[in-house]
Amino acid sequence: MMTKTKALNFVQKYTMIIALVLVTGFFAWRTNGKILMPQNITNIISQNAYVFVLATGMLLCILTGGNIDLSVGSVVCFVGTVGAVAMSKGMNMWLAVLVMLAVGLLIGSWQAFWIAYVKVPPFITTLAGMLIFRGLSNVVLQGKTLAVKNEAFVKIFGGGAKCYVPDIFAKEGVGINILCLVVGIIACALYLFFTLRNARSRKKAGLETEALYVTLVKAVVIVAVIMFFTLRLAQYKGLPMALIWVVAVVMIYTYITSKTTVGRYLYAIGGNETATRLSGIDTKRIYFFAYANMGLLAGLAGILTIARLTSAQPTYGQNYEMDAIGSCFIGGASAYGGVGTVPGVIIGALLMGVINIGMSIMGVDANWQKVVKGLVLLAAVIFDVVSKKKNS
Amino acid sequence: MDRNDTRSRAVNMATLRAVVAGYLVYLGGSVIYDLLKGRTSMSPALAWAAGLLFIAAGLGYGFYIWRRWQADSKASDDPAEK
Amino acid sequence: MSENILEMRGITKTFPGVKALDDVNFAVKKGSIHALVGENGAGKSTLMNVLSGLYPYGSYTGDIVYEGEVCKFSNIKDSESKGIVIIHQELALVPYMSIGENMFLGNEQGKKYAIDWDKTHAEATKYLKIVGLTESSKTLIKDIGVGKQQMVEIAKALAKKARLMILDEPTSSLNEADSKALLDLLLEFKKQGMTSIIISHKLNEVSYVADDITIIRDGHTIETLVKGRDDFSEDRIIRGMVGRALEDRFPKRKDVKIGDVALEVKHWNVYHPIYTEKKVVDDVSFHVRKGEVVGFSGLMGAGRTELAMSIFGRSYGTEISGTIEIHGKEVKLHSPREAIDAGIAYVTEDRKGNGLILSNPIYINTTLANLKGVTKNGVIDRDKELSVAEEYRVKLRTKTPSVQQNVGNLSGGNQQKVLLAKWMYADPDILILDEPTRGIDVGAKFEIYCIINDLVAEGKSVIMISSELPEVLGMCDRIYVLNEGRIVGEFEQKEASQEKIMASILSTDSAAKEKKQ
Repeated sequence: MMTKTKALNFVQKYTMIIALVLVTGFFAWRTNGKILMPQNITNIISQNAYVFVLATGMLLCILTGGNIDLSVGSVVCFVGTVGAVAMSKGMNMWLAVLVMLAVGLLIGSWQAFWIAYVKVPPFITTLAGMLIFRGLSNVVLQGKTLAVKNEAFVKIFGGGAKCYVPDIFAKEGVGINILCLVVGIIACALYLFFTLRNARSRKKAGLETEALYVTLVKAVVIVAVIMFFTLRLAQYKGLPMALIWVVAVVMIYTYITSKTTVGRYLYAIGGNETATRLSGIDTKRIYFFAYANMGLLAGLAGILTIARLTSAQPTYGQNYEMDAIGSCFIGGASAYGGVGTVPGVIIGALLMGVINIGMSIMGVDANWQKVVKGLVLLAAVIFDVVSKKKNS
Repeated sequence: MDRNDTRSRAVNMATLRAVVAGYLVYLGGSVIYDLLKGRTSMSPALAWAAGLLFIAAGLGYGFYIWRRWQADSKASDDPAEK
Repeated sequence: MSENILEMRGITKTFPGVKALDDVNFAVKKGSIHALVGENGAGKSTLMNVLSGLYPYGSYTGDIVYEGEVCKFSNIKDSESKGIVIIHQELALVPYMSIGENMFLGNEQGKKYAIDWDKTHAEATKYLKIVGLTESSKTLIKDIGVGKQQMVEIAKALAKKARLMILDEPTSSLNEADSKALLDLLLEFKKQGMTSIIISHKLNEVSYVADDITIIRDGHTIETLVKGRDDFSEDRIIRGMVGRALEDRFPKRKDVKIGDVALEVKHWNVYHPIYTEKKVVDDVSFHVRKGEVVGFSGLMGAGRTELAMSIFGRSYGTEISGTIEIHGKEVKLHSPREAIDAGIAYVTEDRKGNGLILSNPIYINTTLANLKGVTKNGVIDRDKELSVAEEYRVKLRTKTPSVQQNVGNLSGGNQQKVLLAKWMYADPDILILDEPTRGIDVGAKFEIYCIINDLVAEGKSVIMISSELPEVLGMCDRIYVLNEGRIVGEFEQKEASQEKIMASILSTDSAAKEKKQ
């Protein structure tokens, strides 16, 4: 009985990770391991960079009570358009980046103002934004494609062939990216350091700690995974630039949601808005933060998008909101709000990314892709129904 | 006064679920549609099975949403006294 | 002896890790009103859930014998079809639907896919008349008061052809007049042969209405008291519930020196946020001294909660006017934050709706109103937070395995303690406690009273809003009586009595009526 519930808890806690492993395993089998080739691993990251960034922002909105932002795809497109136009007029690239982030933030704040202070439902506000900014991009670009020719920009933010962190430790005759390995080792060391420190401080405070073997197994698995991927990346061209941006965003927002007061208030509003307001918290400001921040991250996603595609087009960013919302939903954010974590959402996004790339490597026709998508959704639906049954 | 009273939450929840349900039905339909148009290499039996499964699941989920919507909008869970 | 309509024999129900019911025997005579009393968590609701089929046959052991046959209910529909209808503590009505729609929700009239609205409303009107409501069945639920909503619940049960009605805390949110009406209705039904089981914490009501009282403690049936044979006094029942005699229902306060005026409110007016022409609080002036417990008594809807919330950073109402002085200095409070910073805390009456985040653990709830106490530069010190929560858990004797437990899993009394902990940690000078003991058991009530005494002993001021007159009389140094938004009486503890308070409410009521005519 006890072991059974234990096993069940384990499965429940790590459902998405298990799903990710299974799906990756499936594709590794079907593609004869191609999906684990260095190049494809790189692709999963650079092609989906925008999903990671947007899903993180979307999580903050969803945390406040299942509120979503439908405008992100259009905002990505509009920000990209602004950037492409600015750079085509010869603007300095860093200035252009600042402008793009500012535009994103401005749009986010504009929508956030209506949502937080005028109390227009987010669905309506952002639906309007979705139409407005798509339309504006069309007007500015006049329906055409505008190339981004600034090479430095593409190199730093893009996902193409040249967009890698230069290997400062490079040595003649070593066919591997050393910087990449160094970073991987540092990451493992940091992980171990923080786990140990955390465990010790918890013990000191007399709080319950997990069993030693659990910590050990976890650590071994995580270190192995990190090393495997850095090795793979090192065998190819090293660290893709996109990875840097994604990791930065993920780390910053994991920290914000789990350690800061703002993060706490986001969860609190999702849990019980009235109680939060009566506890002296300015809930409007928190709503404003969530949506303004979404704009900022949409700005960043816009930068990543035009850099990867080296152009701006009025059709860019279509369905990006769905990718972001989907990642959140798959990654365990609750439509009720107040539940969900950044790492969870990232795993959700990874799962979608792996499926997309896996299928395109297999060269399966569109119908198969639909079937796979449908099955994933079906799993989510079943999970939804079953988990409610269990609760009641 | 707050956006997150039980009712509007139930709305949020139901909307999100309804989107998923609708999308499932759409996926199922389009799998079958592509099959009929001869645009797939998938075996017909499998395509029919998958298509119908998705449509059935989508509709079933829709029904489930409706039932739960009724329950959600009326009851706040009472976990006390357990 | 009349025959038993229901016998539950040797019922045992276990949840993972807890034995909620242990060999419980419970028999109800046909055509009687049987009260089930016990502390929160004693197992009353569990027992009723077993009976109603919410916990299906097989998930417990023992037999349910109803009208002479052994029943194996696998869901609520099964038990309802036999005429066993349970009315839950929380009203389960949809606010934006009409009375009629609510009454037949899940039991729709007409054909399967075409609801017969004429029939629905005709039937609804019939049952409304039985419970003494004159509202149209097309009135929306949100437009009638809580008391009437409870009546609608009963009408709904009647519409399901109930022969055994189970009422779980039916009067917990009703005022005295509405409660009395409801209890009289039960007595009326009894004459017509209806059997009822009533779960209640209000012992005076229990002894008023019940023929038999069964006491449950820690999952066991302790005893069954029979009218005419046993003593039905509150003290007797309490002794059974807690297993000892409570010497005094209200703890003695040590000599607390009552000091200067801590909070003074003058000419306070508040209008309803939606019906802006309706005055909810009308020219109210009052004060609270340091170390003093001041009670606000009055009927439901007298404007007490509205008064408190409007003072607490204008969290209720519009067009608020009047002045607030704290320690003799005038302050303007525009938001709950400003109120908290000025030293006021408002502990809500609706702990589930407005007070706690049920889906979050205790420690998060404890620090929510004063998160800056455990943060540095916007970063939360998790360890410090946990130790703060632990400190209050020990101080308030909250019963929980750990502070990481979700608040939703706690019993009502323990939830109330977490709510108090949250506001105590915000370290206010003036605490407004709105119905601090609603829906919690006798033991926990006593503990809450002790906490209140500790608070005033520390030199804080407490405003206690309560609908239970004995509590107000037992705990407060001074009592204001509110009716229809106005203060209609003020009594010192020595001179106050239930009769005087009720009289001051009633006299203003009749005066108001005369004015209208």
